[in-house]
Amino acid sequence: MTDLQRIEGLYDEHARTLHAFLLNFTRSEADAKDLLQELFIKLARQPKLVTGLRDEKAFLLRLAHNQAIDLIRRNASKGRTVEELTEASAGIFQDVADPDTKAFRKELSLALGELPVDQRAVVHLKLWEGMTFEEIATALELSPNTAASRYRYGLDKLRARLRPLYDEIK
Amino acid sequence: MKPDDFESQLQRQPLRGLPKEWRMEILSAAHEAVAQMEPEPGFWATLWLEIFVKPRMAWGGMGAAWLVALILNVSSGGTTEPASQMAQQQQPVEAAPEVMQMVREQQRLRDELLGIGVAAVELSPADKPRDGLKPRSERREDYAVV
Repeated sequence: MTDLQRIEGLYDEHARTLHAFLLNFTRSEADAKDLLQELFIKLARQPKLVTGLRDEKAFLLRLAHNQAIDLIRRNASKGRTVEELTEASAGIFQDVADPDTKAFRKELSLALGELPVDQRAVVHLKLWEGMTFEEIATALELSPNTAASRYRYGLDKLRARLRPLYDEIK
Repeated sequence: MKPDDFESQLQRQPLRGLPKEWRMEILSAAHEAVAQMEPEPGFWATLWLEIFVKPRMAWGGMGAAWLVALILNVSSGGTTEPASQMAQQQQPVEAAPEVMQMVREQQRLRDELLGIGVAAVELSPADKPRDGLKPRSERREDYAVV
Protein backbone atom coordinates (compact mmCIF):
# COMPACT_ATOMS: atom_id res chain seq x y z
CA MET A 1 0.00 0.00 0.00
CA THR A 2 1.46 3.39 -0.98
CA ASP A 3 1.43 6.37 1.33
CA LEU A 4 -1.30 8.06 -0.66
CA GLN A 5 -3.49 4.96 -0.58
CA ARG A 6 -3.01 4.91 3.17
CA ILE A 7 -4.08 8.56 3.37
CA GLU A 8 -7.20 7.75 1.36
CA GLY A 9 -7.96 4.89 3.72
CA LEU A 10 -7.60 7.23 6.69
CA TYR A 11 -9.93 9.71 5.04
CA ASP A 12 -12.60 7.08 4.40
CA GLU A 13 -12.34 5.82 7.94
CA HIS A 14 -12.05 9.02 9.97
CA ALA A 15 -13.07 12.05 7.89
CA ARG A 16 -16.69 11.97 9.09
CA THR A 17 -15.59 12.04 12.74
CA LEU A 18 -13.03 14.77 12.10
CA HIS A 19 -15.50 16.86 10.12
CA ALA A 20 -18.14 16.74 12.85
CA PHE A 21 -15.56 17.56 15.51
CA LEU A 22 -14.12 20.45 13.52
CA LEU A 23 -17.55 21.78 12.65
CA ASN A 24 -18.59 21.76 16.29
CA PHE A 25 -15.33 23.48 17.16
CA THR A 26 -15.20 26.12 14.44
CA ARG A 27 -18.92 26.57 13.73
CA SER A 28 -18.09 27.19 10.10
CA GLU A 29 -18.32 24.75 7.20
CA ALA A 30 -15.61 26.63 5.33
CA ASP A 31 -13.21 26.59 8.30
CA ALA A 32 -13.96 22.92 8.98
CA LYS A 33 -13.20 22.09 5.37
CA ASP A 34 -9.99 24.12 5.37
CA LEU A 35 -8.79 22.46 8.54
CA LEU A 36 -9.69 19.00 7.28
CA GLN A 37 -7.81 19.65 4.05
CA GLU A 38 -4.85 21.07 5.95
CA LEU A 39 -4.79 17.98 8.13
CA PHE A 40 -4.76 15.54 5.21
CA ILE A 41 -2.14 17.56 3.36
CA LYS A 42 0.02 17.36 6.45
CA LEU A 43 -0.47 13.60 6.61
CA ALA A 44 0.31 13.23 2.90
CA ARG A 45 3.52 15.23 3.30
CA GLN A 46 4.56 13.41 6.44
CA PRO A 47 3.24 9.86 6.10
CA LYS A 48 5.53 8.74 8.93
CA LEU A 49 3.20 10.55 11.33
CA VAL A 50 0.65 7.77 11.04
CA THR A 51 3.06 4.86 10.88
CA GLY A 52 2.72 2.37 13.72
CA LEU A 53 0.00 4.26 15.55
CA ARG A 54 -1.86 2.41 18.28
CA ASP A 55 -4.95 4.61 18.07
CA GLU A 56 -5.36 6.38 14.74
CA LYS A 57 -8.63 8.03 15.67
CA ALA A 58 -7.22 9.56 18.86
CA PHE A 59 -4.15 10.80 16.99
CA LEU A 60 -6.17 12.38 14.19
CA LEU A 61 -8.54 14.00 16.65
CA ARG A 62 -5.56 15.45 18.49
CA LEU A 63 -4.20 16.92 15.25
CA ALA A 64 -7.63 18.31 14.41
CA HIS A 65 -8.02 19.74 17.91
CA ASN A 66 -4.64 21.47 17.75
CA GLN A 67 -5.44 22.92 14.33
CA ALA A 68 -8.82 24.15 15.55
CA ILE A 69 -7.21 25.80 18.58
CA ASP A 70 -4.69 27.50 16.27
CA LEU A 71 -7.53 28.74 14.07
CA ILE A 72 -9.41 30.15 17.06
CA ARG A 73 -6.24 31.97 18.15
CA ARG A 74 -5.72 33.34 14.66
CA ASN A 75 -9.32 34.50 14.54
CA ALA A 76 -8.96 36.07 17.98
CA SER A 77 -5.90 37.96 16.78
CA LYS A 78 -8.03 39.25 13.89
CA GLY A 79 -10.61 40.45 16.40
CA ARG A 80 -13.16 37.69 15.81
CA THR A 81 -14.28 36.30 19.14
CA VAL A 82 -15.68 32.84 19.77
CA GLU A 83 -19.02 34.45 20.57
CA GLU A 84 -19.14 36.20 17.21
CA LEU A 85 -18.29 32.97 15.49
CA THR A 86 -21.00 31.20 17.45
CA GLU A 87 -23.59 33.75 16.45
CA ALA A 88 -22.75 33.27 12.79
CA SER A 89 -22.47 29.56 13.25
CA ALA A 90 -23.57 26.87 10.95
CA GLY A 91 -25.87 24.33 12.57
CA ILE A 92 -24.01 21.17 13.35
CA PHE A 93 -27.06 18.89 13.21
CA GLN A 94 -28.95 17.46 10.29
CA ASP A 95 -31.98 19.39 9.10
CA VAL A 96 -35.32 17.99 10.08
CA ALA A 97 -38.93 18.75 9.15
CA ASP A 98 -40.50 18.42 12.61
CA PRO A 99 -40.66 21.94 14.10
CA ASP A 100 -40.13 20.86 17.73
CA THR A 101 -37.11 18.77 16.90
CA LYS A 102 -35.84 21.50 14.62
CA ALA A 103 -36.15 24.06 17.42
CA PHE A 104 -34.45 21.72 19.88
CA ARG A 105 -31.54 21.07 17.52
CA LYS A 106 -31.13 24.76 16.88
CA GLU A 107 -31.05 25.54 20.59
CA LEU A 108 -28.72 22.63 21.24
CA SER A 109 -26.38 23.86 18.52
CA LEU A 110 -26.37 27.35 20.04
CA ALA A 111 -25.94 26.00 23.57
CA LEU A 112 -22.98 23.91 22.47
CA GLY A 113 -21.50 26.98 20.85
CA GLU A 114 -21.74 28.82 24.15
CA LEU A 115 -19.70 26.20 25.99
CA PRO A 116 -16.00 26.88 26.44
CA VAL A 117 -14.13 25.08 23.68
CA ASP A 118 -12.42 22.63 26.02
CA GLN A 119 -15.77 21.53 27.46
CA ARG A 120 -17.37 21.48 24.03
CA ALA A 121 -14.68 19.18 22.66
CA VAL A 122 -15.15 16.67 25.48
CA VAL A 123 -18.96 16.79 25.31
CA HIS A 124 -18.84 16.27 21.56
CA LEU A 125 -16.51 13.27 21.70
CA LYS A 126 -18.43 11.69 24.57
CA LEU A 127 -21.94 12.16 23.23
CA TRP A 128 -21.55 11.87 19.47
CA GLU A 129 -18.47 9.72 19.10
CA GLY A 130 -19.22 7.48 22.04
CA MET A 131 -15.65 7.67 23.30
CA THR A 132 -14.69 6.78 26.85
CA PHE A 133 -13.02 9.35 29.10
CA GLU A 134 -9.75 7.46 28.71
CA GLU A 135 -10.00 7.70 24.91
CA ILE A 136 -10.95 11.37 25.10
CA ALA A 137 -8.07 12.01 27.48
CA THR A 138 -5.65 10.37 25.03
CA ALA A 139 -7.00 12.34 22.09
CA LEU A 140 -7.00 15.72 23.80
CA GLU A 141 -3.91 15.14 25.96
CA LEU A 142 -5.78 15.46 29.25
CA SER A 143 -6.12 13.33 32.31
CA PRO A 144 -9.26 11.14 32.33
CA ASN A 145 -10.43 12.97 35.47
CA THR A 146 -10.15 16.33 33.73
CA ALA A 147 -12.05 14.96 30.76
CA ALA A 148 -14.79 13.64 33.07
CA SER A 149 -15.09 16.90 34.99
CA ARG A 150 -15.22 18.96 31.79
CA TYR A 151 -17.94 16.67 30.53
CA ARG A 152 -19.99 17.07 33.70
CA TYR A 153 -19.64 20.86 33.70
CA GLY A 154 -20.56 21.04 30.03
CA LEU A 155 -23.51 18.72 30.37
CA ASP A 156 -24.84 20.64 33.38
CA LYS A 157 -24.74 23.85 31.38
CA LEU A 158 -26.55 22.23 28.46
CA ARG A 159 -29.12 20.77 30.82
CA ALA A 160 -29.78 24.13 32.47
CA ARG A 161 -30.01 25.87 29.14
CA LEU A 162 -32.20 23.31 27.36
CA ARG A 163 -34.38 22.03 30.20
CA PRO A 164 -37.53 24.01 29.29
CA LEU A 165 -37.36 22.95 25.66
CA TYR A 166 -36.43 19.40 26.57
CA ASP A 167 -39.35 19.06 28.99
CA GLU A 168 -41.63 20.38 26.29
CA ILE A 169 -40.66 17.87 23.63
CA LYS A 170 -40.14 14.91 25.99
CA MET B 1 -21.44 5.66 33.31
CA LYS B 2 -24.98 5.04 32.14
CA PRO B 3 -26.39 8.01 30.22
CA ASP B 4 -29.53 9.59 31.63
CA ASP B 5 -32.54 10.56 29.52
CA PHE B 6 -31.16 13.96 28.72
CA GLU B 7 -27.85 12.56 27.48
CA SER B 8 -29.70 9.95 25.44
CA GLN B 9 -31.84 12.66 23.92
CA LEU B 10 -28.71 14.60 22.91
CA GLN B 11 -27.04 11.51 21.48
CA ARG B 12 -30.06 10.88 19.28
CA GLN B 13 -29.57 14.16 17.45
CA PRO B 14 -27.68 13.23 14.28
CA LEU B 15 -24.77 15.39 13.27
CA ARG B 16 -24.53 16.92 9.86
CA GLY B 17 -22.87 14.58 7.40
CA LEU B 18 -19.59 14.99 5.59
CA PRO B 19 -20.19 16.37 2.09
CA LYS B 20 -19.25 13.65 -0.40
CA GLU B 21 -17.66 16.06 -2.87
CA TRP B 22 -15.06 17.02 -0.30
CA ARG B 23 -13.33 13.65 -0.63
CA MET B 24 -12.13 14.33 -4.15
CA GLU B 25 -11.16 17.93 -3.39
CA ILE B 26 -9.27 17.19 -0.20
CA LEU B 27 -7.45 14.12 -1.46
CA SER B 28 -6.55 15.88 -4.72
CA ALA B 29 -5.09 18.74 -2.71
CA ALA B 30 -3.11 16.22 -0.67
CA HIS B 31 -1.81 14.53 -3.84
CA GLU B 32 -0.82 17.89 -5.31
CA ALA B 33 0.95 18.88 -2.12
CA VAL B 34 3.01 15.70 -2.24
CA ALA B 35 3.80 16.18 -5.95
CA GLN B 36 5.01 19.72 -5.29
CA MET B 37 7.24 18.64 -2.47
CA GLU B 38 10.93 18.92 -3.16
CA PRO B 39 12.80 15.64 -2.73
CA GLU B 40 14.43 15.28 0.64
CA PRO B 41 18.09 16.33 0.52
CA GLY B 42 20.73 13.67 1.14
CA PHE B 43 22.97 13.44 4.18
CA TRP B 44 25.76 15.69 2.87
CA ALA B 45 23.32 18.25 1.54
CA THR B 46 21.53 18.29 4.88
CA LEU B 47 24.85 18.69 6.66
CA TRP B 48 25.80 21.57 4.36
CA LEU B 49 22.45 23.23 4.94
CA GLU B 50 22.65 22.79 8.69
CA ILE B 51 26.20 24.09 9.01
CA PHE B 52 26.41 26.84 6.42
CA VAL B 53 23.02 27.81 5.08
CA LYS B 54 20.80 27.95 8.16
CA PRO B 55 23.27 29.86 10.39
CA ARG B 56 24.35 32.15 7.56
CA MET B 57 23.74 35.21 9.74
CA ALA B 58 26.22 33.88 12.27
CA TRP B 59 28.77 33.18 9.52
CA GLY B 60 28.24 36.65 8.10
CA GLY B 61 28.73 38.20 11.54
CA MET B 62 31.91 36.26 12.11
CA GLY B 63 33.25 37.28 8.69
CA ALA B 64 32.48 40.91 9.43
CA ALA B 65 34.27 40.66 12.78
CA TRP B 66 37.33 39.17 11.06
CA LEU B 67 37.28 41.96 8.49
CA VAL B 68 37.12 44.62 11.19
CA ALA B 69 40.00 42.95 13.06
CA LEU B 70 42.07 42.81 9.87
CA ILE B 71 41.41 46.47 9.06
CA LEU B 72 42.35 47.52 12.60
CA ASN B 73 45.52 45.45 12.42
CA VAL B 74 46.62 46.88 9.08
CA SER B 75 45.78 50.44 10.05
CA SER B 76 47.80 50.17 13.27
CA GLY B 77 50.91 49.13 11.27
CA GLY B 78 50.86 45.58 12.46
CA THR B 79 51.78 42.58 10.43
CA THR B 80 49.79 39.59 9.60
CA GLU B 81 52.81 37.26 9.42
CA PRO B 82 52.88 34.44 11.93
CA ALA B 83 55.08 34.81 15.00
CA SER B 84 57.32 31.89 13.99
CA GLN B 85 58.23 33.60 10.72
CA MET B 86 58.93 36.80 12.60
CA ALA B 87 61.28 34.96 14.94
CA GLN B 88 63.15 33.42 12.03
CA GLN B 89 63.57 36.76 10.37
CA GLN B 90 65.05 38.39 13.44
CA GLN B 91 68.76 39.38 12.95
CA PRO B 92 71.32 38.49 15.64
CA VAL B 93 71.99 41.44 17.93
CA GLU B 94 75.52 42.69 18.60
CA ALA B 95 76.12 42.63 22.36
CA ALA B 96 77.95 45.44 24.14
CA PRO B 97 81.69 44.83 24.92
CA GLU B 98 81.06 44.99 28.68
CA VAL B 99 78.46 42.28 28.40
CA MET B 100 80.74 40.11 26.29
CA GLN B 101 83.53 40.58 28.87
CA MET B 102 81.19 39.45 31.65
CA VAL B 103 80.10 36.44 29.63
CA ARG B 104 83.71 35.44 29.03
CA GLU B 105 84.46 35.82 32.76
CA GLN B 106 81.47 33.63 33.66
CA GLN B 107 82.61 30.99 31.18
CA ARG B 108 86.12 30.99 32.67
CA LEU B 109 84.78 30.55 36.19
CA ARG B 110 82.54 27.74 35.08
CA ASP B 111 85.49 25.97 33.39
CA GLU B 112 87.60 26.33 36.53
CA LEU B 113 84.89 24.85 38.71
CA LEU B 114 84.41 21.92 36.37
CA GLY B 115 88.13 21.40 36.00
CA ILE B 116 88.11 21.86 32.29
CA GLY B 117 91.48 22.97 30.89
CA VAL B 118 92.87 23.67 34.36
CA ALA B 119 95.80 21.62 35.82
CA ALA B 120 95.15 19.91 39.08
CA VAL B 121 96.40 22.12 41.88
CA GLU B 122 98.33 20.57 44.75
CA LEU B 123 96.67 21.39 48.02
CA SER B 124 98.84 23.12 50.62
CA PRO B 125 99.08 21.48 54.11
CA ALA B 126 96.91 24.26 55.51
CA ASP B 127 94.19 23.32 53.09
CA LYS B 128 94.32 19.62 53.95
CA PRO B 129 91.73 18.45 56.43
CA ARG B 130 93.16 18.18 59.94
CA ASP B 131 92.97 14.85 61.70
CA GLY B 132 90.78 14.70 64.76
CA LEU B 133 88.50 17.37 63.59
CA LYS B 134 85.07 16.29 62.72
CA PRO B 135 82.70 18.14 60.54
CA ARG B 136 81.16 21.08 62.32
CA SER B 137 77.79 19.51 62.35
CA GLU B 138 79.05 16.65 64.54
CA ARG B 139 80.75 18.79 67.23
CA ARG B 140 79.33 18.81 70.69
CA GLU B 141 79.43 21.97 72.61
CA ASP B 142 78.85 21.99 76.33
CA TYR B 143 77.50 25.04 77.98
CA ALA B 144 77.45 25.81 81.69
CA VAL B 145 74.88 28.08 83.13
CA VAL B 146 76.49 30.44 85.67
